[in-house]
Amino acid sequence: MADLFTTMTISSHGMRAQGERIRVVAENVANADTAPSAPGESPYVRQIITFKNVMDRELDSRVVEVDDVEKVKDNQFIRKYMPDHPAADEGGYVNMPNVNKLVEMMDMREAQRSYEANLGMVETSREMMLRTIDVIR
Amino acid sequence: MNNIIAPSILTNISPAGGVNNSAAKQAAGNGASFGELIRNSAQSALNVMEQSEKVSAQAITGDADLNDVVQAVTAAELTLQTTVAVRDRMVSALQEVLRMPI
Repeated sequence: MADLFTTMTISSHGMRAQGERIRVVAENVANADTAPSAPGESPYVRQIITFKNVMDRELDSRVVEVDDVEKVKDNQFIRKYMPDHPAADEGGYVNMPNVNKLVEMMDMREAQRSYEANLGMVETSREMMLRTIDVIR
Repeated sequence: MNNIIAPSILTNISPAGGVNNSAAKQAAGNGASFGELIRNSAQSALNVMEQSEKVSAQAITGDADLNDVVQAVTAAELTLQTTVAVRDRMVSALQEVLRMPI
């Protein structure tokens, strides 16, 4: 039975990680139109989340944890023609965030499905334990 | 993160059917340790329940994650179910003995 409790804790870690992932996606989507306030300044830069595999000594098993949330490396802003914008350069162009909403939506769906997969593990281990107790009833 | 204590009542019972508890080993010798066994199981069940209540209270104040609450409540639920099931078995065994014609 102890293994099934460990399973629940491992899946719980996975759910927490996917929760943070969806938070980062939300940040990206919310800031997709965050332009700079003055010419030459940088707009919002898309963020990505990375996970890592950590040994949990108390559980005696490996769990997932958020490694880092960082700005993307190869950063190419989208140039948008908006001559009236306060941040427009001499040519009338503004650097807009490199957030592609389609990519973010895909990431969101993936996080959602991964969360559900972990939730399924929790549900299954709980059911297995309950079924075992049913034997002596 | 709050580490949920796995109910020891579940881990103390080995798959072979024996209860690997020192109290159970004494059970063959005298009658008092049966009560001890029950008391120990009840105590560990209570601990799990208390933990679950604590985590639920923390969740209300925003200190605990929803995951932790689900986990703690599930642990409490399973412990309660196990305790009740074992108690029912014990009581029915005792009644069986009492009904025995001498």
